[in-house]
Amino acid sequence: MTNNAASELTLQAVPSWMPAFLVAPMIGGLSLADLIALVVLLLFVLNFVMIEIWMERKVAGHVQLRRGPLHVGPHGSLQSPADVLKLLTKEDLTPVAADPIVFPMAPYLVFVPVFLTFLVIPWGPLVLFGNFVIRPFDLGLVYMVAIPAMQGIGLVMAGWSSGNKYSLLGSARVVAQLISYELPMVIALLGVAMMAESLNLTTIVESQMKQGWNVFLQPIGFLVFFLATMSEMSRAPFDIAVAESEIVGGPFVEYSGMRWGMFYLAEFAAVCLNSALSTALFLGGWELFPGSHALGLGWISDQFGLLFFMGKMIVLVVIIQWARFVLPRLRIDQLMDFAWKFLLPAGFVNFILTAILQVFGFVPFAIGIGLTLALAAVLLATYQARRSPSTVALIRTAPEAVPTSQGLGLPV
Amino acid sequence: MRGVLGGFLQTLKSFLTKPVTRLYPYEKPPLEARFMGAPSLLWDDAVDEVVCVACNICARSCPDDCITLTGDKYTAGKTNKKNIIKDYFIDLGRCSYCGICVEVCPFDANEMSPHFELSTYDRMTLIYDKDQLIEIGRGVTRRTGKPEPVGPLPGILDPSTYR
Amino acid sequence: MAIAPSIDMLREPAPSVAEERNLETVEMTINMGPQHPSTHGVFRMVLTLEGERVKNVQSHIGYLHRGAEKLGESGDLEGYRKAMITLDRTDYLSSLLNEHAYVMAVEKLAGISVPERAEYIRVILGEITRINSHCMFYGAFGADSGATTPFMYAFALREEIQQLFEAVGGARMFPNYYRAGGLREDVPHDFVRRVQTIIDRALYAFDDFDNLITTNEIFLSRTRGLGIIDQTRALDLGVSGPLLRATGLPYDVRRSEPYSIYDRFAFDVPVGTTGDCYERYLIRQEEMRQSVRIIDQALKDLPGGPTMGNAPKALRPPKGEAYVRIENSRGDFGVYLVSDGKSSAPYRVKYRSPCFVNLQSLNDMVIGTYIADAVVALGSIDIVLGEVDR
Repeated sequence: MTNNAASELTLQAVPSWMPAFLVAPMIGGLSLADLIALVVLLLFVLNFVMIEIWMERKVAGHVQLRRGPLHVGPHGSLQSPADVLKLLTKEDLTPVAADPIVFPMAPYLVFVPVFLTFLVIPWGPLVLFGNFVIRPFDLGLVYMVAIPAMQGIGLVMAGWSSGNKYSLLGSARVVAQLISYELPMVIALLGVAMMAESLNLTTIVESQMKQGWNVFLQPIGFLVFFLATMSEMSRAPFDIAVAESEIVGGPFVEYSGMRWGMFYLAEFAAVCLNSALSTALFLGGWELFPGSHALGLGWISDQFGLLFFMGKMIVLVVIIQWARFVLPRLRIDQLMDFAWKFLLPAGFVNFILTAILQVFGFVPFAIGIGLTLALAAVLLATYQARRSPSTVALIRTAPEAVPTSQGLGLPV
Repeated sequence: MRGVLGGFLQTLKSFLTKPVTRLYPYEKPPLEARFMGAPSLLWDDAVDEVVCVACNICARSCPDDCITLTGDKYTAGKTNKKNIIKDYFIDLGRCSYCGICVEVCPFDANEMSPHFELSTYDRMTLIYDKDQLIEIGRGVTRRTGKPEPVGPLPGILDPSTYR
Repeated sequence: MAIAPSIDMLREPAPSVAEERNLETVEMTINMGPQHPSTHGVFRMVLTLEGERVKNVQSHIGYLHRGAEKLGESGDLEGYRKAMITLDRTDYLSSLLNEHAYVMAVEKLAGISVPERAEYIRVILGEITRINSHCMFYGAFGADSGATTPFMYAFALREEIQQLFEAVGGARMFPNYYRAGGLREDVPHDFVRRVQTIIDRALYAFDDFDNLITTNEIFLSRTRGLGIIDQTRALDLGVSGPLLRATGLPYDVRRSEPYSIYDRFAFDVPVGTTGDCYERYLIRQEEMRQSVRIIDQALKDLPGGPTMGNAPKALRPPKGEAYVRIENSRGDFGVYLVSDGKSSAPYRVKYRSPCFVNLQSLNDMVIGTYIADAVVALGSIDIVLGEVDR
């Protein structure tokens, strides 16, 4: 961006206790191009969230034999703008019991980390525009783990400051959930970093073009990462933090108007973000299909990569939305079990297998993957057999076997 | 795992089937022949007056006490009734559409009309007076206690809507 | 009779982490309902929580009390019909089944016989009502456990059933169709074909219901082993219906004390073994299929003839009392009527509502579980607040 002297100057200007990955985005200062990029990114996120909400409602509708939004605009496509207008005009209530400082602050602390994480995403190239990425710095992977974790603070603040017991319960759940799922996510990312031998997201995507998509080389890692991120953004079936049927919205109970809208925005932006990250880290980023560079068709991806990136991202978004309308919600202890007893071991298995791949080559790695999957299948089968699905016996037509009211001592 | 995947497959199937939703305010639902909407007063076209003779049986039988009526001496002389209604009010906000008033009427003077769209901004507008009750009863014929007409009945759901 | 064991004797909760390490914890009292999305209406639970665990639950009812029994005793004209209007609105999901109990009580009181055709139609419509009600359970139970789609599936089927009720009785939820001595009017002439269509489609729909959540692992882990009540405790509490059958006792009024013409049909009474929430769910699923079986047999045998017996136009039963019990979709529903022999309205009306009695088992189910389980356990009782509060 700018010359080296300027960046060193900025480095000296920041306090020494700040970790390098937080300083990194500041290196090079803030140019006009950066400002424009930020504004474009913000507009993109806001608009994509609106489209996403419309998509989610359409998916929900059709999955449930309904139609979804219909009346505002063609096929209800303007429903989200209409909802935003409604939220903006709604009264912004602050309950008497709420903390007057923390309560209004919380929604922004939830949205800003999500937005900041978008900075490192390598969106891919498009003709005439070049490669879309705002800050392609080398510690991207660490940054994308560290920054969204701050969301938890915002949610706890929201839950605590509302002065509502439901929201307090919700925020307690958020903390437990975020801490548990951060771990398997990071372990899964270690595999990706080892594959690419880099923490730079752009390098990771480019390395996938050379050696194949990570989703095939790291199937367990992808599963762990995808499920962990789904839980991180508390989407169903991991949505215990908001659980409408239990704690009626969790930390958001007392919010109304655009502050509530901010939480909603953050949630949907997180869906977009995590789909984008999964695409970049596991689904080959902007490559059209695996191995296209080897076949000499790499120029298509190099020219229109952005479109393919968006396409893959939208598919993942739809899958996340679809799951919400299929699966019941896990209970909090089951959620913890899932993180610590399933995802974390699976993450470690993936980690070790990746190490084998890097040191010993592909064949031992493939054997390892095969053995792991076989073991998982055996475990799953025994687990299923231990709890047979149906226990309901049928009493056939046999009047003498049936107790009468007199037999039970009931009044007749 | 199988159960979770089964759920995904099932929802995929319903994603591909036609939605069952009917666009109510734009497409009116098919009403059955026996549909019981608001009670209405019947108009005797032969003598051009209401059939009701203000006997008050409907008001006394009403489980919700939503019918109020007053009678008047009948002076027109077109039929042999002694009284005719002066006022007749039904509070449709209280009415439970049970149809008892129609069943007990000895003179076949009322019938449940297909009128059911009652949304309003003011509860008082739900108290229908005589003219409104006659208006919603226009074209309605007495069906209760009469034999069922033979022939295709209206309002059967389209069998392709679900599955 | 021995004193019923208290909840503490039955269930000794495992010491929590806080107790083991002598940590100081603060109990939290949380008010769930009457405005809460999953308390099935206006039920109110005051939960005492320790963290996520429920330590105590206190239930409050009465927010929907409308005095249905007292209203049933009023009226100078057509009092016996008026009582049925309010009865319909107590358990709004099994209205026709309850109507059946009520008219049977009136018939017993006044000594009215019912024609064959009317009995068959009552059974058919009653079983369809049972399917309707269990559909509602399916949807609500899915929603309680966090899945939203079952609700829409259930309502797609319910829509068809209610359309049938509209065709038969004129109203979708409260048809007010049965009369002492028979039916208000005969069914429409395409009744058999329409019921056939509905049960054909219902069988498909039940498969869809099953595919959606019955074998879903998350659903299993949420409902299995939760809210267990053993058989003796269930009998002590007076629990009936699917809750009692889930404990392994095949007590179904249709079988134990066949009323109307239920002794003519072959059907199975599903029973469970452990009495947890999942078995209650399975039993209701199976009951819907058994209802289809009954409807199928009744449609084949449906005789012709009149649908109204020798009932007098103005009903004035002789002095006496009558109690009739039926198997409602929630359990053992009873109607108690007293006539003073003079007036045209019952002297006393009393409904024995299964929801009210079943709800007493809530404490046994909920204490010691998580908040999320409390919601599911309440859902598995399948209460209708209109009937609890009457």
